[in-house]
Amino acid sequence: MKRIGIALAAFFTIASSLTSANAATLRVGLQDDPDALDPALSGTYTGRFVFAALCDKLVDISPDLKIVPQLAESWEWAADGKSITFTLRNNVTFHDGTPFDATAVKFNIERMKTMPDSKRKAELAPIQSVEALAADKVKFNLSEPFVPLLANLSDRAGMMVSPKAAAEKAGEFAAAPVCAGPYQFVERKSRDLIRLKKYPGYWNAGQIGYDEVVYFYVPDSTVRLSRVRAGDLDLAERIAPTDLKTVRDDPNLKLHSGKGLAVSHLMFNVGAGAKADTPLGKNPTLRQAFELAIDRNVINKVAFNGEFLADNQMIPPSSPFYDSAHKAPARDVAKAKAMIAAAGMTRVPMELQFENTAGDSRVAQIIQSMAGEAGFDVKLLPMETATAIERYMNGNFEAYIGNWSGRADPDPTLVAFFSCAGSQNVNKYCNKDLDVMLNQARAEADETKRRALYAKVTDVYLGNLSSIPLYHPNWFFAARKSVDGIVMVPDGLLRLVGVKPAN
Amino acid sequence: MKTLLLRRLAVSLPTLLLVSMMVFGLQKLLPGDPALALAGEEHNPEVVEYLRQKYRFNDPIPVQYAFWLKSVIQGDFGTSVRTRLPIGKMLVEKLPVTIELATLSMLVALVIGLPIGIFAALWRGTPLDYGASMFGLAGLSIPHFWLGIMLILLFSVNLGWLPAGGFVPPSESVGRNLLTMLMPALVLGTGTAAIMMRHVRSAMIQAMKQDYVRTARAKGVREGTIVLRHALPNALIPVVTLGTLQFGELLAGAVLTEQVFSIPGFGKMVVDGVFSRDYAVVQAVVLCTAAIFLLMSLIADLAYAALNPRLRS
Repeated sequence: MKRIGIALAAFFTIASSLTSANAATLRVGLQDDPDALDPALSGTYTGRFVFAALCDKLVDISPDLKIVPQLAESWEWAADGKSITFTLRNNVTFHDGTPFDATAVKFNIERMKTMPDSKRKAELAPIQSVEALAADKVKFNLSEPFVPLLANLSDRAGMMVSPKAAAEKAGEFAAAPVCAGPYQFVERKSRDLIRLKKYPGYWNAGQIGYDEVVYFYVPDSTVRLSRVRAGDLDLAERIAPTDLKTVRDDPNLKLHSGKGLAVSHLMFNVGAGAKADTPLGKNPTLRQAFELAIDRNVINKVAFNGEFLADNQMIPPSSPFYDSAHKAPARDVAKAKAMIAAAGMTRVPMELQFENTAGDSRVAQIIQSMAGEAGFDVKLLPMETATAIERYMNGNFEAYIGNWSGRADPDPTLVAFFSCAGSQNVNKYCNKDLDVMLNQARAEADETKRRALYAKVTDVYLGNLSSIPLYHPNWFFAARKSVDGIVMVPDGLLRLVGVKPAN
Repeated sequence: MKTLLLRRLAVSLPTLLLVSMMVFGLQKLLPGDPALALAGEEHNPEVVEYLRQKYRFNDPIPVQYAFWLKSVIQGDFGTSVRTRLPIGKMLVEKLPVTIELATLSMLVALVIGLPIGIFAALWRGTPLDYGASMFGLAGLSIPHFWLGIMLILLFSVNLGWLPAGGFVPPSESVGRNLLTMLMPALVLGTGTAAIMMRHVRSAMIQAMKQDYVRTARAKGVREGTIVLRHALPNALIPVVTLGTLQFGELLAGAVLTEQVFSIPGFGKMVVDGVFSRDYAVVQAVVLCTAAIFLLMSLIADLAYAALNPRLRS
């Protein structure tokens, strides 16, 4: 018996020594498996998460949503707002040694605009041509003044890939991407891991604290957290609000939280086909009654332990363009009932469609219960994701819980959902006056004037309520105390410059 | 024996083809447009249309199937629509992982299921037998997902003895490979062990009632010899069949275990493939799994014939 005990003790000693990994490797747990690792093709949040280490962009956003330099050191708008000239950082090379210069920028923008399956076309649409003025000067000529361009360039549209690798590998680039970020691609095992190693030639290499970073795909948030607690991962992204207490109580962990850009909203079909022909689809007053029937704070408390941000606008309060004059109305069931009665109804039927994820399902049930008290008979219609997306895109819903990842600038969000031709305007809301305001706002370089324009936009969309914004999710990372230097930015991406092992 | 082998092989190929056709047709019945699922948040119509054409989503299903079959016969499983990675490479990466997990689980099942089944049969009606039945019931009814998380909490989070998940290929470190596989194999193996135990128990009870056992006893053969030499080999015949088929089940049914322990095997690959409408991936995995299943049932038949002389003629 004693021998067995000794043998077991020896086994587990070896076991635990084997499980602790090299200190210079950062192991990160991701909720989803990233899609194609090519900034022109990528469409997932987790893809962007990996790109943050792999591919530098022309500009970046700061924690307070200001545009800051990255590969471009500075920029200057032309007086008419129809062109912008960037001064590029010198001595930057891609991971294959190709120098980064104005020609590379020209190549990248043209590549993203012309690749047939590029997902960046809309973001770069206002750019008509790119001129390489000097090795470190590049000018973008625009078809119209377009201030949100910088914000677009702070995401995948501004990521630079090696022109040499992109030309040589064409179709297989996504399998082995070559960029100019702090870490370079080593290997990818699909639905398992992505391994990157420090790029010694990085322009800011002194700020890079780990030799290697490995992203592991761990879909279940409880398991992801367990693995950080077990010391098997150093960091896990998107910790569920219900698990935050565990993180806070664990002396080995640190919770990193930050305000997000995303918004979840209840979208009503007001003009797309037969499903728009409902009391709520036709009557804005009933939608206002619906808003009064629900309490956003209750949704936040019950579904997300109060860890998210209950709010009534598409733009999060962290944005300088948030309109603090439009406060969310308090719940008022009596008033809601009165409004329903004024519309000549007693009970209002409604079908609510949503993706059958844990979060959305809870939100839908809470809404059903609260709205029911005011007189809305909400029928729940949960859908599996791919089906939900298809029905959503085809306007095949009465009401839908939409989750939008948000953007650094208000323009892409508001145009997508509220302009008549917006890419997300699947509920077919159209208001010509609003379109005019949105166009003015995107051409306005003066921030104060722009803010005033967006306040007017907010006034209009909150009056019509083709969509009722519900809450903004916050970002939560659980990291071991041994990881130092994490800075949360509203886009929720882990930037590795400055992140290093503690001590 | 040879005729049996040839006959079975002749049946297997058309079966495989039929399976692939059914899966191809069925997944096309799934609602949800893969091009829309792929196009990203902004859904540029131009891009959606390009993707539809590029991946032949607009073609009639038989045409799509023919193109797929043609390239598979040429050894090309295509690229994943979502990640743009070659599917052939994915299969080569995932297959050994899944086979290792299934083999280790089977080992766990045998080590637990066989002895308990035998003892339960020999001491039928005693507390030991009831204990075994309870184990069987628990093994069958405890969800893998729950058991996995409990084991992770105990052995990884609280005790810190074992890694909580992930996969280390044996080529990198055999020790760490086995450590990471220990809990998943245990979780996946308990269910199979329970099934195994129940079959061994009833087969053993049957065998112990046979005439040859009575004759052996009459001749004064020792009880241990009767059990091991006379009853057990006969009781094992159905168990061998069960084991090989169960192995196929393990390959196909490891989805939740792979999910909990983040093991990059077939189960996870096919589930993710279905959710992202990555048809070519689903198709390749199902075809591979079907092939393994057919192979396993072939082995089961051959083993059955080898163990039971009456079937050899």
